[in-house]
Order: sequence, then C-alpha cells, then structure tokens
Amino acid sequence: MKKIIHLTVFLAIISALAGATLAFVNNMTSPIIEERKIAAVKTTLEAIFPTASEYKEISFVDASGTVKNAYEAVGVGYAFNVTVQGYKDVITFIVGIDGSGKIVGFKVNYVNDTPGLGSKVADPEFANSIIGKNVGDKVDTISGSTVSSAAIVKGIDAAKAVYQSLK
Amino acid sequence: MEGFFTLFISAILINNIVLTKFLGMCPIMGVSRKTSSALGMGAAVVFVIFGASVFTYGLYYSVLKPLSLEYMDLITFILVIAAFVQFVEMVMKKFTPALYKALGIFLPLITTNCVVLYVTLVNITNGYSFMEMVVYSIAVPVGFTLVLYIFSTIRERLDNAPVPEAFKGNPIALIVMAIMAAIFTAFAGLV
Amino acid sequence: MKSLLNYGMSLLKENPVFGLYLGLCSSLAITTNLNNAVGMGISVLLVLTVSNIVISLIRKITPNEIRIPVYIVVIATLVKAVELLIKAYAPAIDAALGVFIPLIVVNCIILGRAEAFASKNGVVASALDGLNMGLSYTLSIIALSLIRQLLATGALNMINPFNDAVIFDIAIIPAEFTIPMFSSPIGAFLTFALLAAGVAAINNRDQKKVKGA
Repeated sequence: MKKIIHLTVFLAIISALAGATLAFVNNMTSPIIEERKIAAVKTTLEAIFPTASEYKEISFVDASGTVKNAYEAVGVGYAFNVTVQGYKDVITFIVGIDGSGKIVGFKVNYVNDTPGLGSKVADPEFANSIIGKNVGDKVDTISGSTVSSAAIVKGIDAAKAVYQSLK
Repeated sequence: MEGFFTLFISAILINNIVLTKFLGMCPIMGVSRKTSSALGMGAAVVFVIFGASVFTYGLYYSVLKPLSLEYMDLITFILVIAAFVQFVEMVMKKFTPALYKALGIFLPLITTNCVVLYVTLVNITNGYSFMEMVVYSIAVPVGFTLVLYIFSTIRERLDNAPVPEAFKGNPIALIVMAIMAAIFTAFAGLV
Repeated sequence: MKSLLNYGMSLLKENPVFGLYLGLCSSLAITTNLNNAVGMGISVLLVLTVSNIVISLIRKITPNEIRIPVYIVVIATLVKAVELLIKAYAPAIDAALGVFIPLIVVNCIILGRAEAFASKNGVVASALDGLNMGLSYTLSIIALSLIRQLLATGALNMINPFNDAVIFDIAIIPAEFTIPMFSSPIGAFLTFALLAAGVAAINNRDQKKVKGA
C-alpha cells in the first residue's frame, strides 16, 4: 500500500511540475499566438470590409459543422471561415456578408483538387459570380468541377444560416 | 447521415492514415508477418483509439477548456492513452493469452503509436461534433487494420522471394508500401 | 579529419532512422521540402537533448514501476513547450509541420533513448547522446527532403522562419525534368526505401570486411 502511495505521489509531483512549466510558457506565448491568429485573417477581412474600424472573432452556432470561425467587422458585416469536403481534400474559404444581406467578399484559402477542374473554384470567375448576390439568391456551380463547387455552395448556405442567426 | 458516411469512407480509403499520412508505420513494419496477429493487433488498436478518443474528447471539453487549461492537452491525452493500453493489456492477458503472447512488445508500444495520439488530437483541432468523433475514431483504425492485414499477406510471400541483399527486410517492405499507396490513390473522388 | 569522417560514418551506421526505423512517421510525412526537415530536425534535437538531460537527472529517484509514464510526462511537457514557442515565434514552421509537432511526443527515438541511455547514464553523457541521435536524425531527414524536393520541384530553398526572409532559393533542375511523384506518399516511401537499402548495403559491406579480415 505504501508503495502505491509513493508511486502516485511521485507521478503527481512530476505532473504538477510539468503543469507549472507549461503554464509559464503558455503565459509567455499565448498573447503572441492570439495576435497571429487574427493577423492571418485580418488581411482578408480588411480586403472584404475596408470601411470597418474593428474586427473581432465572435461565437456562433452552426448546425452543419462546416463553419469554423465567424468574425464581425464592427458596424459593417460578418465574415465566415468555412471548411467543406471537396473532391480529394478539404476546401477552406472565407465569405463576407454585409448588413443588408449582400455577399461582399469570397476568397478560397485552401483547395487541393484536380488542377484545371476542381481548382477552378479558386479562380476569379467563380468569386465574381458569388460576390454581389444576396442571401436569398442561388449560387451556381461550375460545370466540370461539380463536386468542388457544389461543396462550396453548401458551405455558403451554412454561412448564410449562421448570418441569419446573428442578425 | 451523408456526412458521416463520407467521413467514414474517406478516413479508411481516400485519406488512409498509413498510406497518405504515414502514421502507424512502426507496428506495420514489425507485427505484420502473420495475418492472425495482424487482425488481433488491428482489433486492439480500434478499441484503444475509440476508447481513448471518447475519453480525451470528454476530458478536453468538460475539464480542460472550461478551466482554460488547453495547453495541458498533450500531457493528459498521452497519459489517458497509456492507461488505456495498460488496461487492454491486462484484459488480453486474462482473456486472450495466445494473442497477448503473439503480439509481445508491440502491445505496450500501441501507446507510442502515432495513430492513437493523432486521432485524439485531430478530433479537437478539426472541431468534430461527438458523432463525427465517434465515426472518425472508428474509421481511422479500421483503415490502419486494412493496410496492416494486406501488408501481412504480402509480407509472408516477400520473406521467401529473391530480393537483393541490401533490400531484404524493411527496404523492400517500403517499396511495397509505395506500390500500395499508388494503388490507393485510385480511391480519390470515390465520395 | 579522420575522426570527423569516422564520426560521420557512425552517424550513418548507427542511424536511428535508416538503421533502426525509428521516427518513421515524421520522416516520411514532412520531408517534402528542406525547410520542413530543418525545422523538424532542430525541434527533435532540442527535445531529445533536454529530455535526456532531465531524465538522467531524475534517474536515481524515479521509481522503476512508473518510469515510462514519468518519461512520457517529461517528453510531453517539452514537446508542448516547443510547440507553443514555435506557434509564437516561428509560425511558418507551425503552418508547415502542423500536427506533426505535437506528434514528436510519440517519436520512438526520444522515448527509446530515454529508456536505453538516459535512464542509465550520467547527465553529460546523456546530453551528448541526445545531441548525437538528434543530429543523426536531422541529417537523415535533410537527406530525404533534399532528394524529394530536388526531384519533385527542381529547386531548393530555405526561408528564415522567424521573419519569413528568404535565405536562398536556387533552381537546379529545369521544370520539364522534374518528377512531381516525389512530393506524394509514393515518392516518400520510394526515397526512404532506397536510402535505407543504401545504408544497409554499406553496413553489410563493412560487416563482411570485419569478418573477412
């Protein structure tokens, strides 16, 4: 019995020391990490909502599970970071919707599908077909890259649903 | 339901953990000489990954996150995994002693099997819902078992084949892996 | 000069990656380019050396029955600390290596050396062993990524991860002759197999020399 207590105490002490060390490193690094996270998205947010004074990440409810982050461009609109399953790999994109329900921004951040086909979703033509549409409008898929673009359309629908819940 | 099926199939075939993400290599190289022990190992891994995933998922969302202790995830996850493997070892020793002996040192080595830690971490970083986590943590080790099994059937033949001296053993096994990886890329676009 | 050559040969022959097949997962997964290999190599070297030092320091007071969980806690703490530091000060490496940074915890080399060496030897010897093995590992994955990146893209480049400045970027093979397959898992397995066979061949030849002499 004494042995087990000895073992448990030793392990507990080591774990406590480990925890303390990590708490120290975490304190030191977490403000820098937070800043970097927002900085990565900030350039995109600024491009979509140039008139906003402040950008912040907000909490949200999403039934589809594809909307990963939601950001508010204070006073101007909302942007959503969405990840969907494309043909071979995931596709991540950001879609921005302003206060009046108009899609004002769309940018694909990661796509790894067939070059020339699925990869077309990253082309300006697709973005141009999306920007300007209203929340109630339908977005068309691209022929030849049906799987990738259909996945994105579903992702945009999910973002729209979150948008409606935030308004 | 469609989402779960896609997740399930893609984890096993399209994004197979061994052939596309290179995880779980050590046990594949070591255990896979007999098909029966390959299946036994696979079953053990499925159980450990599923159990550890549920446990660590719960731990993260009900303890670590609310207490802002997310940085303790690595330590707590790996300790949970180690404990689970110990538990499986004890159960196997009692109920399936033959398999326990056949697996030998590779049973405790499941603790350092990259796949286990990978799945528990990805469940969090991919923001999976509970059901998604369940599907994923069963599908991935099934994919691992699939490759392990196929590999064991090939390995038996490989040991008897005329292979150049330098390639004997592991290098030729890796070449077989390369071919398997090439074959599995055909699954892209399945779902 | 001769001792440097001998040292180089020992790194090759007692190679944890190509000889003992430890640390496979990371060797295959991240060696698509030189930057990744250097980033990972240095991270592993650091964790390995410090963990060897710590475990050697506490080896006399660590109860035998729980030594493995204790080593795991030590290694996990170091890896997490390295992960946080990389996320804060060298985010380019974090973006490139992703989940493979926390997976350093289960890199068999580190636990393996802790159990085989650091738990039985003094601090200085353990530190040197960690540096040795870490260096061997780093050189192995640099070799892997040199071949893969050169064959797949024809160019080699290195970027300073702390400020994203380009250190060098040289195109060596023209684009038409590149073999993109080497970026894929297929190329990874192939390159590894060839290098492993090469190391095995050198070891076999040396063994024959010893037996023949």
